[in-house]
Amino acid sequence: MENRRCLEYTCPSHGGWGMVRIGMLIPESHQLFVCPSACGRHGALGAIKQGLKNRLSYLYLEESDVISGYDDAIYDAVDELLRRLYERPKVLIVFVSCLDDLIGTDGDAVIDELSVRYPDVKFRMGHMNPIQSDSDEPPLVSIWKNVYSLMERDAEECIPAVNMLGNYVPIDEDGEFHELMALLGMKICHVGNCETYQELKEMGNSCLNLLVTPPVEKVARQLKREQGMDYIFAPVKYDFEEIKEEYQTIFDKFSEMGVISEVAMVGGDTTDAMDHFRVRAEQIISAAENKARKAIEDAREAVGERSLYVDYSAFVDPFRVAAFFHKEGFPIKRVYAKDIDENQEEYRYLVEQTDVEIVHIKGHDIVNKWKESDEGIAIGLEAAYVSGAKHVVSVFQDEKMFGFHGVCLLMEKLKKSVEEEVDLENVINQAGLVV
Amino acid sequence: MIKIAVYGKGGIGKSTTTSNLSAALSDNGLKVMQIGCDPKADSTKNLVSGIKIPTVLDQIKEKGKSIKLDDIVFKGYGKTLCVEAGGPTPGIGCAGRGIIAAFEELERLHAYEEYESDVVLYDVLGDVVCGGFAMPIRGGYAEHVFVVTSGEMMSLYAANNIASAIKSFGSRGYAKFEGMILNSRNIENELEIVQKAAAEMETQIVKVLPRSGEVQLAEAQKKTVVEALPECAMAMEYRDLAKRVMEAC
Repeated sequence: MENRRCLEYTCPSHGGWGMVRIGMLIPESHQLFVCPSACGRHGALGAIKQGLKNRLSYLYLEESDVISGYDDAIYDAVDELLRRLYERPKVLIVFVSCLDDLIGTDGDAVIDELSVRYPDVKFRMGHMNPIQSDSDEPPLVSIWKNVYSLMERDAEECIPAVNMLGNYVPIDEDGEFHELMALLGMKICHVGNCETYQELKEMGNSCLNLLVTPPVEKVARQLKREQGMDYIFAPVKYDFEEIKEEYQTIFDKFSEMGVISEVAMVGGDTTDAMDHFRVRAEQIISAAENKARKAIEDAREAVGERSLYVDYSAFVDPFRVAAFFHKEGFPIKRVYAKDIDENQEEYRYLVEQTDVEIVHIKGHDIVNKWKESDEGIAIGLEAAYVSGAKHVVSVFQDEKMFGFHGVCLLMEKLKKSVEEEVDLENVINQAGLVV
Repeated sequence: MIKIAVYGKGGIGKSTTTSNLSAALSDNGLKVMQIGCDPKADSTKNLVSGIKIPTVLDQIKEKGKSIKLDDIVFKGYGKTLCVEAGGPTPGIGCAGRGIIAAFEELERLHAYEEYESDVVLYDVLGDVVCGGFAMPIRGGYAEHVFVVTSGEMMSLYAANNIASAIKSFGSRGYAKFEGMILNSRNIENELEIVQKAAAEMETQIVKVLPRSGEVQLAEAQKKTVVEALPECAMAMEYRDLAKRVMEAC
């Protein structure tokens, strides 16, 4: 309640992946925003910066639409849009704004009607309604639901592939996780790698969904209920023991599903093949671990005494990363957080056993810590803006990182950041953020 | 589970009729959940001895995410379960949004599944004036709609509006208009007037409830007629209404 009484600070480097950009991950899709014109500003400017403007359209609502409802206006707009687009989209997301929470448009009925009118297009109703941020289905959960609900299982048996859900960009292909999955004959699928809607649809035939971030849990549960797609959580970890535990959890799941033995049997004797897999997996993991250890040592030496400032936009779990940095001997000074779970183990570790400061980046008292850290290294663009650090690691939500290779990527970025000072405005523009 | 919405002009006797219907169905051994969809939050008062139960919207405001079903669903007469959606202070806010929010909360808490009710009755304020008030007759909610009316013009006018809304949703495969319940005001030629209106709306009169002082007697005891005066003639009328409603559904 205390926070509700205060203004929240939003810094100019806020943003990254919003509703529009996430929805645009759907190949061959188009978005129609149905909202008052002012609601379109951020999404439209972002789409221009991110090169997505040709896939985004607006139906501006007026007062008469608010009074009368706008089901028919949506039908007319979709009709016009589909006639005017040079290429017919395979998927069309009709977004409504907070206004619709009051109007109460029957979204399901609108989608059903559109699906009857245009059977060759898949329709989804999107909700750009931050007013529902505290609800059971905030915008982020809703948009991921729209993306992944397009996966359809049409094969009788699942194929040897695993989907990574909830991360914005695919993990780096040079990592050990790719190698491990290849050993099992498993392909790693990600919506960002799909060039066609058909490819996204076919991800429904994969045998397992790995949930990298929490907002995809709802759609994962739905896919399990409706299509029998199993899932486990596999968030990005940095602590070495946690990485190994996560791999073990994934392998246990495959083992439980009989996937390992099936693949291993191709080579002949099951037991021998299983043993072979275990030996090879251990070798791969061990080699990756050694590389990550070396990368940490190199980065630590490069960073020296410079303080590290970590923010919530860089990592899904900034406390986990900050604890990792501290345990590895980096001079981590501050975490700029947004949501704080005071019972979280890593948070408690930082508060009780270290001098690391935890700062609520949206709190009005952020101005007391303003631009005081130009010698430090900011990891995340919000930390960069607020701290004033000249050395910056530009990363959003653990992008591309997973496993030991993820640690290596982070360390490489850290080392590189030491070598040069950045023009933050330039970095913000390159990241496609809207000020 | 049978889900029924009861609509009608304000003050026509919807809540009295619905509460007595709930009580009569409960006496028949059915578990009934009555959901009042009116900011006044007085739909179920005669099922809970006149106690003002907390509304869904008040509890959302007070408890936020920690809200539980026990905070909003209350045991009433017999096997009835009582819920009041609630709404804004008169003159401010948006009542339609209130209904949407209350329904979303009931769904989020799996209220229907948890209580395994045989019948759910939505007692809806007045006319289908906006999207919020249409919520009870959308997909997933009531499959059957009854409209309470008298022979007075304004009441029939509202009934016609409600019938139009149901009809326009018909193509979406939503609720079916099962008929009108004539809550008699003893005006001249009342039955004929309502029969004519029903024919124009392509529906029927499911039950004629006579005007009776027993309703006021029971309400003075803060009870339904079915509970307070179970052997009286009006209680028999409500039991007959329950029978006819179930037959129609």
